[in-house]
Amino acid sequence: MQDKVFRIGCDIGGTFTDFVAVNRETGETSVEKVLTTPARPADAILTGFDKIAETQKDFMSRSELIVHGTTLVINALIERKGNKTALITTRGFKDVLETRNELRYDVYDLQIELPKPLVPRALRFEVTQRTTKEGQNAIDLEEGELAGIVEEIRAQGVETVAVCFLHSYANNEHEKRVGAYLKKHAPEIEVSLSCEVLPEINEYKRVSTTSVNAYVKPKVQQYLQEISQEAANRSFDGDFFIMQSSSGIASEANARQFPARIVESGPAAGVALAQWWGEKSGLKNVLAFDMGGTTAKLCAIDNGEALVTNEYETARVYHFKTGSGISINVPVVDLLEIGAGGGSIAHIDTLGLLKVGPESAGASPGPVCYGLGGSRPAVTDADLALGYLSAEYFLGSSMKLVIDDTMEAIRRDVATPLGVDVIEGAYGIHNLVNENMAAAARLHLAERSVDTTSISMIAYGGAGPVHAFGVARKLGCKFLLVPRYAGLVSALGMLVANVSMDTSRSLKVTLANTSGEELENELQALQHAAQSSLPNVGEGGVLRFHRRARMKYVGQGHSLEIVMPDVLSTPSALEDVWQRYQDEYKRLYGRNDADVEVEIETLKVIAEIVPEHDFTLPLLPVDGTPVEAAIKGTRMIYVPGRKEMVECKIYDRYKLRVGHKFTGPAIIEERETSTVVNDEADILVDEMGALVITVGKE
Amino acid sequence: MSYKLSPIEVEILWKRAISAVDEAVTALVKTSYSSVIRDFHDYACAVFDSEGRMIAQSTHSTPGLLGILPFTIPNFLKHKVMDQLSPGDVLVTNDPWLASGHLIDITVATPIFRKDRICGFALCVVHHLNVGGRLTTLASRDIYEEGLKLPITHLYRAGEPVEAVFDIIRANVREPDKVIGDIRAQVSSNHAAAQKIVAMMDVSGLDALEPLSEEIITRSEKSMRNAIAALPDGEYTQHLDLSELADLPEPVHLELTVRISGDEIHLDYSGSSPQVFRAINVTLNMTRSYSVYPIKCILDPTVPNNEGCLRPIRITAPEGSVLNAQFPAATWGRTIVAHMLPELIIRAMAKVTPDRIVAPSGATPLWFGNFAGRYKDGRTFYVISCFNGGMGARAGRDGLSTICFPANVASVPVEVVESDAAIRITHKMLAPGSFGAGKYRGGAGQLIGFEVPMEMTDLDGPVLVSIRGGRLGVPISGLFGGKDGCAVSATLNGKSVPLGTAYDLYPGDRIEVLVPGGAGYGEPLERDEELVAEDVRNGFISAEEAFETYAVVFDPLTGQGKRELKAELRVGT
Repeated sequence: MQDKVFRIGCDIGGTFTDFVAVNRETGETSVEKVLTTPARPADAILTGFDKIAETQKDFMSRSELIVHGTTLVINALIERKGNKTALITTRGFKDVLETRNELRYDVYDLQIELPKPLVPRALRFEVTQRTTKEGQNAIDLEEGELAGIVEEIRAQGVETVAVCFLHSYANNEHEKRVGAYLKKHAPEIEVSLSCEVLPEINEYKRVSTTSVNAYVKPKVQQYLQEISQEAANRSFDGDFFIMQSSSGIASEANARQFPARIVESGPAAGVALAQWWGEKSGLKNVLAFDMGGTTAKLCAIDNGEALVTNEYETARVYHFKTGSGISINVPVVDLLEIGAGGGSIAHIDTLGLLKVGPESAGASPGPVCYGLGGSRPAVTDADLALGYLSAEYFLGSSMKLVIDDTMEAIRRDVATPLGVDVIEGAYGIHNLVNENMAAAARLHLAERSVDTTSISMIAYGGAGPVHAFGVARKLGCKFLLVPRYAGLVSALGMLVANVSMDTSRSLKVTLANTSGEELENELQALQHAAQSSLPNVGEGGVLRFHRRARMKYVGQGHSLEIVMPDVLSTPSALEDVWQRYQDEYKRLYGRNDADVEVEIETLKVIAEIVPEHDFTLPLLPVDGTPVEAAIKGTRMIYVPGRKEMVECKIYDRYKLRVGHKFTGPAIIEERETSTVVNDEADILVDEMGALVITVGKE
Repeated sequence: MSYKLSPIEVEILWKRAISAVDEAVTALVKTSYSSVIRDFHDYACAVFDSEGRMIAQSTHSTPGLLGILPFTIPNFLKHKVMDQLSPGDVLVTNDPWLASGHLIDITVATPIFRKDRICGFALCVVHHLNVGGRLTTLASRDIYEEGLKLPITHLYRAGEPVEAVFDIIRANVREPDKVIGDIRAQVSSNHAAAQKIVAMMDVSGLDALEPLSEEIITRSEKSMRNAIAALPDGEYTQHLDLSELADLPEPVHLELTVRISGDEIHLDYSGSSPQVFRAINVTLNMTRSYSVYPIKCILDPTVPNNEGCLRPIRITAPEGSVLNAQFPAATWGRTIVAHMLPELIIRAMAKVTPDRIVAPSGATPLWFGNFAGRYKDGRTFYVISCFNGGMGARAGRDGLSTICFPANVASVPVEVVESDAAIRITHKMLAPGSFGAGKYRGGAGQLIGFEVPMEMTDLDGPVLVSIRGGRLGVPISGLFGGKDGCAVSATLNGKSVPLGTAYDLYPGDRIEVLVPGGAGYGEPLERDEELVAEDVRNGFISAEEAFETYAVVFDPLTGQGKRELKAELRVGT
């Protein structure tokens, strides 16, 4: 039998499905891009496997691992193409899913709408039962009411059910009993229990997350079944993992059980890569910056760890605005999503001022320069006008850009109304979209108490490297790093992530009213639960637990996540926990309210399998070619520091070698993107082939 | 500085100034003890130029501060303490007439120094846990019953706290550690805003804020004037009577004349009732807030608030009236009256801008409950929870269900209320039939029940429950043929009770409140058949109501609806 040497990362995106396969013995890396097949996404995956197999002998049978990221869940939520779902909940509370938090997400727009609940009112069923906040059984579950509900659910053709009772985080007995009943009397129906999906206080978030899980569960099961079956047909018998939104990976079985955890798998893999790349480059505080056609995404990596949140929303119905989407409260990398992309349209508003986005030209008709019928100037048009993009070498020459119409559109819609020339208008668009992203990033980082001036940026995505230098300058970042494979980061990120599982439970107890033993017991239970849903550790891996608690001063609304000591059953352990909270609070807010009692809201454990041998990328060859060999020509580009177009060198990314050094202004072109350095700045190609740019002051 | 900013520079600097105040309040919101900050969004941070003109205000602030903030620094500037300011000075006041309309809002102002000169001011307003005085009551007869009043004075001098002021606050408020914690957070917030404004000036080469404020204010004013000029000139009057109000013998009468003339609007409240001996009086600055708010929503919603937006809108109310109350009027519960103003204004504007308005809402004025009590071991609890009615229908859209309007307050989760107070919420559900029918129907209100569970044996005395809300005798009137929202109902152990007073609840006692839905817009007979059928399927209306009100016959087998006009309604018969 041959050794299994290949590890495959595979990410489905909107346009392309990307593959990276690394031979862990030789370091040889194969990359592949095939068109995404929205009707049956699995088709594109199999095509990709087959294509790589053309050059790698016995590719599938010699693969030990497939890690997959998919847009299946997020698309099902946005397009409302999940399965027919019912909800069973506490009598008197079937409308929690619809009443949400009763807040208007925009104060001034009287025409706002809210997303329709995933489960319509007619399919929300109530049963008599009541559990108290302490977990006591105040009213026992009326199991007799379930027969009628099952009958109705079947008559309506429901495929999947969410069960969510009040205070089930404190005592899950009633939910478990309903689960058992359904398993016995309606085995064909998928069930999601809130005590398993999200055992945390706050009924709206719990019912929303559980409904999402139920809504996509049959669909995800079928999809994963298809892929693993087809892969098996191609002689694959290794492990099949799925990227989770938290940037850890999960076994296929786990992903089938908790599909709400894989909503943001592609973007999470990008963040995983940025974290890994930052660590290899000695950068511990990083802002991962991804910009595509319609949105930009940012995520902070603080002290080597990507920030993860359980406050997440998707399928927002109003300009990406917080509060306008569906709440999912399982761990997600803390992404900031902004309506700023290459397709964002520029216009003059009622104030006579320039605005960019959130309206987007999308991929069709796209920006004016695509020549596909778009007539309103977009960000990509401005980038072309400024010389930042090449009309000839766009997407590796697969598309020729139209210049004349582009200049005319900018003149007509922006420059003339503002009374400036067309280049000034174009730079206004470029600069303003950068300012929009920087402003959103500043607020996002301020809310997380991350200092922007000690942070470096890692940029990727089609438009990321085009705008990164400008955004990094506005934020005061010292270094900007553009990794290799900037157009394939998600697929590559799948390979650097570790297998992990998050578990949590609400507790709501003051430090004065608990003991180290009690907390230790709770944490041990969580560790056990997390470990049991991980695959066997096997050789070459170590199991590691991260123990955390979300804590706050009694009376405040916002909690901080504090790392718990390794052992809590010692006499002084609680004092240590108290001190850790005070220290972190002081670090973030500059003061303490030491007289006020401290409360633990939620305990949390992340179990992670850390491989003994780190993933590595093959280094770039060192062959002594001079940097001049990478210059493919010159072009006039706009340099804002000089307020004029300046002739500058264009570099071929694929001809750059380790140790090459040059200075801006310069443009570095690769197939999927261009790195724009539109001012004086030092650029270095490091060992791993990343461009390292010293950003300098705005 | 004579340098003129280009339109692109204006946009970038304006955005940065807003970002500065938004960033400045993030720590305030996260470290606050006042749930009125985090759930009610009752706070704001703003920056002003050296002449006191407001440039930017934090984005998520309550509409209740809209008409107040631009006038606050100018009021400070009239005071003698402002003649000699040093770096590190911080000022404070909670004077309702100079700042934000009731004592419980404390305003902190900080001069922004750059190159040894004052280039502007940062301001932070916060609704606090308490400022002493009587707790959550409308019964106060004058301001002295409502707690501590701080005239404009120094809180810090050259970076050093003025201990006497802190001592006075500490001696007069409940839970002083938390109140002073929140005041310190306001000081930090101003400091952060000031630093960011100075950094913005350094980076952009701006020597003074005035050229920027001039651009922002002029452009915003012009935008609002253009929107007003597009309306036909005319005069429109409306009035309403708050008849069931805080056991007052006489109704409170609100009268409004809207005069649109050219590019200006005059909202004139002449004819409104005199101020009353209850804590519901509105100062003119607060009247301004809830008058400007609907006008801005209807005419120019996207321009970030600043002084320029307000200039074309003239707001007057007779001195000594309930909408321009004079010292020493009590003002704690002023929103009961002020929240009715958007409804009054929208009804007056209904014929002028029928496509941009909202029919009256069951959520107006703000509904919330206070639950306070004590356990035998000495622990106490005090919990505020909000439960909103439905929003009125809009032109082209149904109203939203259970959503706050015109305030913007989040509800506290049931599980959190139950964890923090000795209360059980027995049910909380959308109320079928609570909204007004129409071509577009109102949003649904809610039915909510509270009880003190029988097993709560460790309570020391009753739980004090006070629920603010109700429509105060004002019907939720439909527009253009739309029907009214339902009537309010509140019961204690099954017996009807009035709202707005406190009740003692013992184990086993239950309160149930029906918070109405919104009013409808347009003729019900014009409502889309499928939308009627959907409401039947979802149990919001019965099949009988679908036929009676909408003339739609619902087929329970297919779940579809079909309009069948009754003979007397058919055209030509």
